[in-house]
Amino acid sequence: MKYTSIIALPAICLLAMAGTACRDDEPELLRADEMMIYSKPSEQFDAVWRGINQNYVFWDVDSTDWDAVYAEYMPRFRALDERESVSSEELKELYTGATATLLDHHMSIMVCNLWGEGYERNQKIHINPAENELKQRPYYHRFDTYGVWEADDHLVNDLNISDYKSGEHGGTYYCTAVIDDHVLYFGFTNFTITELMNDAAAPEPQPDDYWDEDQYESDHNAWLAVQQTKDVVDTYIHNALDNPAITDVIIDLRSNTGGYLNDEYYVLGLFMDGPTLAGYTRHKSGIGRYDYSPWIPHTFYPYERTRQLPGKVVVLCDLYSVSMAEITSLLAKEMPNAVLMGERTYGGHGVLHGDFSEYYTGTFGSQDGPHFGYLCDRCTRTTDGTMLEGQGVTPDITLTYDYLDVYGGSKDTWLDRALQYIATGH
Amino acid sequence: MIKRLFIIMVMVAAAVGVRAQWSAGLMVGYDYNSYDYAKGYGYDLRYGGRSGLAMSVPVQYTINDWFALRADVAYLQKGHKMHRTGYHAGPTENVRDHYLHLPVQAQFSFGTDRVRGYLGLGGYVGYWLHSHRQGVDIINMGPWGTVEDNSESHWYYYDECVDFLSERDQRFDAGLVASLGVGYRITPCIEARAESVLHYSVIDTASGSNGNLAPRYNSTFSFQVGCIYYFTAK
Repeated sequence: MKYTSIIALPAICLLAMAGTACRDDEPELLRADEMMIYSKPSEQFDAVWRGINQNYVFWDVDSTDWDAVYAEYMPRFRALDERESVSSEELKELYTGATATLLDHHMSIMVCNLWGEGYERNQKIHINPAENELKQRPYYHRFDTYGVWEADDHLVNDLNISDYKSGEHGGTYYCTAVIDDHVLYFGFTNFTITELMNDAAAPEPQPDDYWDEDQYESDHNAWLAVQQTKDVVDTYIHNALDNPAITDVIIDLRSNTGGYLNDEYYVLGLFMDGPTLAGYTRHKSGIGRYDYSPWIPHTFYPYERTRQLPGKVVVLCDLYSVSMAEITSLLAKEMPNAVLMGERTYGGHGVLHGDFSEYYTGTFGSQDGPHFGYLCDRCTRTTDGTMLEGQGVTPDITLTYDYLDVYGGSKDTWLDRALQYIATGH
Repeated sequence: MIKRLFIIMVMVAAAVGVRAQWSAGLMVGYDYNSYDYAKGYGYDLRYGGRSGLAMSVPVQYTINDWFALRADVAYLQKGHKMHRTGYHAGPTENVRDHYLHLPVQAQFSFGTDRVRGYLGLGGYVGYWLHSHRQGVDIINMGPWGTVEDNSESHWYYYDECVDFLSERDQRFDAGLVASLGVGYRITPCIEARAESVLHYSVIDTASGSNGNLAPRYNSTFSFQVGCIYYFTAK
């Protein structure tokens, strides 16, 4: 016992001290959107780098060495600290280089040039990493117009149509028509149908509720405009479900920039024969770079009534079909009577909710602040486990972009090709 | 000089060898893993420890009546629990990690021939064998496209093996070990023993590629009972 106490007790003390000294201390961790006050370009870069470091949801599939980016670019930003002013062009070049290889095709970074001279002072600089990848594609073309605008001219000027309706709400343009009495066309620029339906549910303004006649007239006209645009979607739904002459449908998602997941209810939800698995989503489950949730099924549910068309559902997509337009394109590939035509899409398959505290991921900073990072808070993969972020959805039938469709009058060769497929089956 | 050193070593070995004896055994019991994870700005994240099974096969070389060297092959179930609180309450997760440890201890003993107390101090190396998680998370899409309430249909239940990711997971483990136990010599060759062991890891379970974010450590306390067989009767 004597030897035990003489040797063991000091050894215990030594081990206890060694043990506590061997563990790393907790680092200072701030939320990315708490690092908003700084005075130097290097501090701004540090905040943006940390925001992406903490909030990015693609690290395990993205080949970018983000630590190496910090090591390479921080000295370059520190060199700017010593200067009296920094040009917006320099800042844009540095941030573009730092984010060039990031996979998230929704990502958009805004930094404010707090050190610019003259008109560049507080100028907002926007960086979109996806642009670098898009320009590498052999079929790359610039964005010229929305597919529904092209189709609109062609429908009205060249095709045999009936029940034509079009309208605009909240920046989204909708168009529907019946072609040759049996093909239903529906095109729109963004997935904001849910918002339209919610806004259209507002009660009609009544004159008795207003002191100001002009204000009443303004509000009533606005209400009427919403109802007219809602009528476009209602007409589409009515023809899809209740017009016995309709055998085929064309959904035009060319250059559609996406929007609400809910909207699928009103689009392909009319033709689903039941809940349809579109893929899986994953979000972050902690603050570690690779803390991810399991892959959670991403299921779309049918409309309150559905109809199985005897013919085909043709979905048109192009390089600038992104986000919800791509999810819809993927869903079309899961449906037995649907076909996807056009170009391989943008590659922005992530989901955004915009609430950082929901999953400790995604968007950080402020659009009105010195920096803003627009990131996905969930990533997706297909039913067979493939991640298409940065790649896009490959159509079943590839079409070539023809700029004359945009600038050569009212022609729309892609709409014609869809009609040809419906008529002939190839 | 070398010759003198050799003679001293032989004399020490001879003196020690008179009382040295090998023993081996089997210990089984319960463990509790404490998960030390500074969650930083994850204000509503709550992490807690988990209990599990502990087993070890100790091999002991008793040098004299108060000192022995002991090495074990030990299996430990570690892990942790996580749940969210506040506005985003609902998601929970239980993680089970399976480890193989090789602790080596200097063991000091005291007491009578029949009943002896043991105090062990040393270190271990280990390897993270397998990880499994089970929990519930929120489904992003409901029947109408949004999660409108907290009904059961909006929760996703999962139970899955976790694939290791070299960028995230540090599978090598090491740390300090301390034990305190008591043994009762049933027969000259067999001892029943009960002991508590602390495995204090000094290796972050997250690899260095994890973005320099908060480190995480395991501290595992086990209570085991078992038998030790002495190959030479006392």
